[in-house]
Amino acid sequence: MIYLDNAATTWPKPPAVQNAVASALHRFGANPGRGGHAMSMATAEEVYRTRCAAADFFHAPGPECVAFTMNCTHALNAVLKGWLRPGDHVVVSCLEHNAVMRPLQKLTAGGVTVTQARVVPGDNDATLDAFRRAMREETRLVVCTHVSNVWGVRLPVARIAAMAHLYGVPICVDAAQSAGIFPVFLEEDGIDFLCAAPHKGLYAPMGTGLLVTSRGEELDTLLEGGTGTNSLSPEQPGEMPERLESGTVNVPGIAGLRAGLAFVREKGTERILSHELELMRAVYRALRATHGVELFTGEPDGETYAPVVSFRVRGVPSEETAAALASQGVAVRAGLHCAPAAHAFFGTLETGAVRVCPSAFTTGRDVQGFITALRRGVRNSQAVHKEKL
Amino acid sequence: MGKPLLTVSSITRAMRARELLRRHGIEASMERVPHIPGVGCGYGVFVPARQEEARALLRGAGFALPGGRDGAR
Repeated sequence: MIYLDNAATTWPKPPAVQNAVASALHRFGANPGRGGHAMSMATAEEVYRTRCAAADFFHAPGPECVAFTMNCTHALNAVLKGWLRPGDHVVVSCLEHNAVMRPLQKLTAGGVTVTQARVVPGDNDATLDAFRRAMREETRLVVCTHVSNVWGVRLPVARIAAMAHLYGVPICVDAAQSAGIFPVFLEEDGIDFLCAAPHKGLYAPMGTGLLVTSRGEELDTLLEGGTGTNSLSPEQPGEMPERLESGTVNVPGIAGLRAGLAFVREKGTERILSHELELMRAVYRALRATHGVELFTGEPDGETYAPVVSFRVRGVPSEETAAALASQGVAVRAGLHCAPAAHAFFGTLETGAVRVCPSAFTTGRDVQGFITALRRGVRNSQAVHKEKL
Repeated sequence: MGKPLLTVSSITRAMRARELLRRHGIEASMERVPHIPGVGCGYGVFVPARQEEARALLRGAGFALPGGRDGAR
């Protein structure tokens, strides 16, 4: 199989990650932060090591700033529902995923209002001005994807954070698609809440998520329950990270995350980005040269666009294009990618698009295989649709 | 007199405290505390010697110790 669905989750996972998960099931089989026996303590140490590694990776002040969540959606929900109150106003980009838009939709029923700022790809000044114009007196949060999961558009999150802070408003960054490819740092970038999907660019197993923040104690909680400490109190502990981590955490996933972080560190985000850009430029150019293929963005350059390309074949439903590729052993993702706002922005809400995304493991041969399969599929699909007409 | 154990509010803080003390050359290890009066179960840092110095270092690093919810046992 040629796997180019890495924006959904990276595959394969590095051998070190696979080994860490398997080893954790054996070595770290007790509940961390609950018991005092050797295996419970050893498990807690592994969780702590991962916390330290994640804090280091995202330049957070300390391991207590790292909360493990089920996924990035969970982390985003924890911020949105833990921070916003009735009457609050939120500014978001026009490219947000449903992980942001659906919780906000629910919150609007309780009196939260939302303004979408129009992103101008390639013009960060204009993007920033759009965010500034969207700010109001009652704005309490800016939520912004770092990289669009559909189009790869890269947003100037550090500049947006600085602008928001001028108004005394914190920023929550959805780094689901960027962590591991682009540098994203809590302190240097002025990010208040950083949500990440480690199973993507950090090569961790699925079922892992991160909320990195030095303001976690200010969030109301989504979940309350056992934390292994202060058990006499009926109140949820106030301290991070336990405040946001009720119940047993995903230890094998967390152990895999530590190995994933080490993998990315060893390779280097710059090297991974450079590798993926080279591949996606080849994909982009081949698509541009293929009759009937429609592209909506510029060539991936690492500045305006991340290494992900979405396209459409004229007259052919995107799901059909993806199915034609799947039948030839190529895995891509078609449809709306859980981001209807991003599709509305580029005019593909009705048809969807086909997304291609590489990983550190993707090769030039994979890309060639994809291009060959696509051209064959396009010819066949267009012939079928022509006959129907 | 009880074991010289500095109790902190969470396992993460206990580990962080242990590391901070070790970085300063003070022997420290983490232990489960089965029952902290008025609090319940938790974790603490066992400091066999130089407890006052350890306490000062932890307070200086922002750890809440006796007087707040955390304390010595």
